[in-house]
Amino acid sequence: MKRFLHICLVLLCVWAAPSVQAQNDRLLKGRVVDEQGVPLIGVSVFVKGTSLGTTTDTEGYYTLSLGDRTHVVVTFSYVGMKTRNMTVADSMEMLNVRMQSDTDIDAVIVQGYGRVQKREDLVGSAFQVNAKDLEFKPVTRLDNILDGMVPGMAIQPNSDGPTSVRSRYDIRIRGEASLSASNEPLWIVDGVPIYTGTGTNTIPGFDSTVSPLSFISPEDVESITVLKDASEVSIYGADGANGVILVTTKSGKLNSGPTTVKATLRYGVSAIDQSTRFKTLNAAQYMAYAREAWTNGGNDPELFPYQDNEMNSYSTTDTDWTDLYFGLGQNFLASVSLSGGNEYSANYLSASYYREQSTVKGNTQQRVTARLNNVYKLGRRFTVRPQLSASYNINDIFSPSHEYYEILPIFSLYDNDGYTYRLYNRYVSGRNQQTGELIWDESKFWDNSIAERELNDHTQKTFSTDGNISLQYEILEGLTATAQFGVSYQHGYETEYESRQTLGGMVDGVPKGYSKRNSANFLSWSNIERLNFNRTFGKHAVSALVGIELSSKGYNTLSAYASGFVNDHIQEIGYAEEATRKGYSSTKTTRKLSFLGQAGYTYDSRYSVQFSMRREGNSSFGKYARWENYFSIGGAWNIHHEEFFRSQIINLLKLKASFGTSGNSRVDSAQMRGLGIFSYGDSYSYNGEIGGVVSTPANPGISWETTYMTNVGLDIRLWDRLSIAAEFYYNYTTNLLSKIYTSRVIGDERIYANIGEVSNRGYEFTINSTNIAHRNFRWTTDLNLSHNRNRVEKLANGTSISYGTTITAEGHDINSFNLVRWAGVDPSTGAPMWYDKNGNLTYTYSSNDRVIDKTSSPTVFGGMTNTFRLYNFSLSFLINYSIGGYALCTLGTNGVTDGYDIIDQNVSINSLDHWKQPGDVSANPRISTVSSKSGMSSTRFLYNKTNIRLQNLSLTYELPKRISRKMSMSSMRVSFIADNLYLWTPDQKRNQNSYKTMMYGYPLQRTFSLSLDMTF
Amino acid sequence: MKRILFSLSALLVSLSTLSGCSFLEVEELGKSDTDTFFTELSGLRTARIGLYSVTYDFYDQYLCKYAEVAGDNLQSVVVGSGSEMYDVYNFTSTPDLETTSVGYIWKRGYTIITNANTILYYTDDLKTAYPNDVDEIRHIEAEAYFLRALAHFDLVRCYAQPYGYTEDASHLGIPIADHLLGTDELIARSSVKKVYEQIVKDLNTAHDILGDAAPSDAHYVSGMACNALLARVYLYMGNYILAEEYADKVIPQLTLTPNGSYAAMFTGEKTGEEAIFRLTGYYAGHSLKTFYNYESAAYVPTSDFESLFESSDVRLQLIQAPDQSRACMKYYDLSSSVPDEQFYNITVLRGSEMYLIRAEARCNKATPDLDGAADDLRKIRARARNVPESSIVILNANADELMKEIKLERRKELFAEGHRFFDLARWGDDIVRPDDTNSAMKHLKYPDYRYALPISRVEMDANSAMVQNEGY
Repeated sequence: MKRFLHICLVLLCVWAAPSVQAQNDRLLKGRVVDEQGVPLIGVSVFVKGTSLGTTTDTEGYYTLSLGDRTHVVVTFSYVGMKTRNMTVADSMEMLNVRMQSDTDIDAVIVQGYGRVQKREDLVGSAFQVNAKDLEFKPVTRLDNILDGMVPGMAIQPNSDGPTSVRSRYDIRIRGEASLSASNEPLWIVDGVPIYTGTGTNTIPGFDSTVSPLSFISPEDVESITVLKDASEVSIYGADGANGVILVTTKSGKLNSGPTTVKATLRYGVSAIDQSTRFKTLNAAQYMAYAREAWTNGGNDPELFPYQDNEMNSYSTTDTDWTDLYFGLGQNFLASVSLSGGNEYSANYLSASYYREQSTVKGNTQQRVTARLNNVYKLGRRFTVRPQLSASYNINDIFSPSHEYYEILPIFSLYDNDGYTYRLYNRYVSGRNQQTGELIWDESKFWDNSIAERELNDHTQKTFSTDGNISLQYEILEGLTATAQFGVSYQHGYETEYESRQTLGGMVDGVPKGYSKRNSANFLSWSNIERLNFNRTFGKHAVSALVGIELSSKGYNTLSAYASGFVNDHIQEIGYAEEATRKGYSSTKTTRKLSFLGQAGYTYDSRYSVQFSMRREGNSSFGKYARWENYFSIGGAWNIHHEEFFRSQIINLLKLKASFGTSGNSRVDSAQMRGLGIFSYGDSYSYNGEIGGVVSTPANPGISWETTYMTNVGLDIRLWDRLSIAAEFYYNYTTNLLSKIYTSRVIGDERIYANIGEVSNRGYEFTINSTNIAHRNFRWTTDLNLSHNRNRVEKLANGTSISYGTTITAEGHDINSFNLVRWAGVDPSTGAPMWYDKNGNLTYTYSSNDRVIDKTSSPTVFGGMTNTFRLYNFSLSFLINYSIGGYALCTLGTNGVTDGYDIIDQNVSINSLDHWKQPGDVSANPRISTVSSKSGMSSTRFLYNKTNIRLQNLSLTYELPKRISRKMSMSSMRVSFIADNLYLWTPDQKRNQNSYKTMMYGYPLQRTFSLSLDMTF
Repeated sequence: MKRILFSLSALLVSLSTLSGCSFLEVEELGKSDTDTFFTELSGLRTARIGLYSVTYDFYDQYLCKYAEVAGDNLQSVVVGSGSEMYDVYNFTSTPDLETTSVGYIWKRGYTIITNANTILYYTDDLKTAYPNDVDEIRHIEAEAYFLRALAHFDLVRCYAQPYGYTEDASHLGIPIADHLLGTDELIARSSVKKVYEQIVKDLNTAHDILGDAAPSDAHYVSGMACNALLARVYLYMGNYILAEEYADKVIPQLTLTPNGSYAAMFTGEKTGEEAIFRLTGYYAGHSLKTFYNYESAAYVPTSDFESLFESSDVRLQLIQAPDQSRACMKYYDLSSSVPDEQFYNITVLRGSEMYLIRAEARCNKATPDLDGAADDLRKIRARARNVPESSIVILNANADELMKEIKLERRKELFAEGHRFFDLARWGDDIVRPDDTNSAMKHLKYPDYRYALPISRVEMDANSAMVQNEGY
């Protein structure tokens, strides 16, 4: 058998060989080395657009036969190195190549408005994540994929409670600087701002938010650039204060050669990480606990509600509800892309299908995308770039709330028949005083949402398309005029139906069925006309940009709902009972008109200065503050280019600094725009007529939050293998918008006003290190570390703004906790204790004893990626970490109730450790159905947020070129990918709840995938 | 090349002119911002109704109660710190009491003024936009001026010492809001004199539009109401000549409600013959009804007050419940079983008060007209007892004696209509409660800082120009 294969192989080679050798053979020889001059083995060397190729030998030498070809381009590619395309002159016989690692300091940074800059010349603070870094990361959505990769950027779910399987992620770049306006960065895809929702990323018009960032296929992304300081964001004007994220999609490139086809197939399975699961009592533990609390509460033990009866057999039921809500998930990705280009045109065409079934049962995401990004050169001076993408998304939605751990284990999913979803439970509600018999009652089993999951429908279908066309004309060498028009359009349709067989679909026990239809469309467009100038005159490099941008974004929503259906198959509103049919609609448009400019000058690659400005008119602004100017100024000094600087160790040493302003126009309500609000309705009627009154007075003088940003950076590169970038920033936001009391003479409600100032200062370190660079073994580490300190500098009249458990107060972090301090359990009585305002022990809970202490902001956070390459294997893993900061965990406050609502909901397994008799030293107080207020918000539920996550790991094997080429591929890779592999928190304990089990509302989903990537 | 540069710069220039055009003017649908609301006449009409509605709420929830509880006609049924108007009853109001009379009379009073000012802010534009409807718009303007004056008048009565507290009324009044105030405007208190001048000015402006006309529906402001309120305002200012003059204008236009239908003029849909301006709570809140509801009253008339009435006095019906217990019945309507459709009416101005004002003015003016004053008083008394005027004997030997009678009649006639405490204050009378009162305050000697409410802490904090009343 083996021999047979051998013969086949030989035959194949023989068959292939003559076709080459029969020609007039021209040979190209040479040696391939890395930056340090170390020869590279196994570099694939081939003639672009053909299957002619070879690999380097152990000394890095290669011999490539070119046949009779002329004007050839030879491609050198190697894992971890930048692919090089070398044009070979017809007479050339020898070509030595030095390859550079991917983490090249010369990498260009995309800055928007047609500007790209070499990293070395960068004056501002921008961090770019390239396609390579996004490989093998989860493709569900574009935002949380960046978690841990960008210094200074924190990503976390909007809520730590079980609210939605499709979390809204809060993205904070360099801290939080607004109380009422959005703190979210601006997302721009290929020059067009896309709609990512309101200030809290909610999508208007829908009952469940599906982030528009999940509509874009990460496979199509060429780079994601995060702009952070004034010199980068000032040019984005009133949208820049929270940072700007530029997404550039892959596009055809002129002269990139014949069409390359890339295909990816990926399949994965996922399951919940049991160690992150919130653990509650099982049936036996529950019964004992509940009876103890019942008796302690002074209730008659004989009247304990859960006694076996003809409907419920409590003593024999032990349901693991979490198990019923979570299951095995799957994901599947198939994508293909074509790219190539000649002198006159270039194409990029891609299509992909992605399907993910979540571990939270009832949730499926499907995405079908197609993209066409082309470039045409018309004559010598005109370039046209049409870009068009379409994405169709189907999301089946089911978001269990707290019930997945709260439902009592003694309840069963089905009625006694074993298949009808249980809607009622029977329990003892008292005793008949005359006869002494027990009184039984039935309660609605609202929590049993499994019935809803299985019987109801909730689907959102969204069609999203981005279209973009730009026309560029080269006026002079280096001077181009560009007109760009881009449109981003999304249309979503959400259907919801509550079955007649569920409690939600019943009215007073009568099956009705409830149906709702939501439809919304979002349209953003922008039109940019700009002149770019970029030219080098000897030692002088000059760049300039002037432009005008007109843009508009808006949405229309429409919703209808009704109940009263004959059966569960009808569902459409028109067939419901007429009186119940209702509907509403809303609409909103914001427009902007801006003039922008930037000028940069670099002398001898040593000194750079950059100035930018934007004048922006925004329809969101009040009458007197519609126009605003933003500016920035920055400079950089490449010390290593100085003559006096001679160092064998330090290859790069650069200092940079910038200062400027940016704004925040993203406010959701008309009040924040200074408009008066007039309320109209029944409550203001007089003498039988409906009236209207001023509900919020106008404040046309309201002005916009402005952030003054200062950034100082130091870049250093040692031994050509260790790069360190350090940045320090100080952002000061003024005119903070919030609601305050005004004089009652003006109006009787709190109104929006500019009330204060807040600062964010911090540092970010990025370290890229090539630890080992042996020709067969390479190890690189990329580490980033960020620290941000937030401080409320000033509030109107010094008055703090309290939000219950948190507070915004002068001198404190904007998200400081304001809680009563927990003092533990009194061992003699089991009573809960707190500290009062003055630090004395107290047995009474009072919100007056709240003290400002601790914040949710971590001390430092970041991520680390390690990549190992051994021959054709490469292993990469991403570790995210967050140290410091506290969380008032939703699951903590909900799941630890010390028995007072034990009849209604299950409790954390930690509750078993509670006080039972005098002398007991326990974590939790005496349990009772009578509340001791121990469950009230206090520092008892504050958890240290420190955690380390092994977020992503990928192991890739690249088939040797000669084998892949035999299969007519230029490369082929097989990868094993693991996501959310491990989470560590300092307080974790086996079979106990800790921050680890309460960090997110649901257990973490761990995914293992296999991926096959082929390039033809 | 040059051509291209030229055309490009031409393009830039033409685009830059866009900044002045309407590109940034986005009409926001579905947003009831005030500007949009007032672009149409229907918005103004709605705002007019809203203005009446907030005025009703102010009287219903606060003003009428305050004037009575702080006076000497009522006693608390429930004694405890949680009971309504507890601090008013005991004269223990402090600036911290934001959610009770201290903060809310202020807040709700200025709500009326803000709504009136909002209407006045937009009427000029509307007159241009709706030239055919100028008369209607002018009429609404007059109503707004009137209600703005009324609210200023009520606020200055609550938060400032009476007009006569200083010789020239130069003591602290309230901030005057004679236009729609911006959030950046300094809002300081004006003197009481200035406030009264503003009130008179607004009432005259309203009167200029409305004339002397009697109301076609007394639930809305009329020219007659302007004259009536001016009469009252001048009385408060101690300008008896003008008080009499304005009362004189009103009185010939109306007839007193006869004895037979006296009780009915407070409740029910009909406003009664002597009605000048009455606020109706039809389909609105009914705080006063709950407050005085005899089945669960918070305050009831004292027995001392009850004993002032002769048994034949029709007004006794209005302080005695069907079960004969003492209770204020002026806000108790049983005409409909549907609570929303009951008429909780609050009398702001009525004919009887005009007679009492004229009597007081005639009695107090530089050259008193004691006979004329006695005649006016006689009308009220005779009607109450349902006897001929001739049978009423009034002691008018001297002004002091007659004034005593007038004060007594005023107390009895205008009970629970928002007068008592303010009357006592302007007369400079002490507040004397029976010895067995359950109030902590049995005798408040005039003058005292407690004749004015404190300014709430919220207002003090939010407004740097605000000055607290002395004593708080």
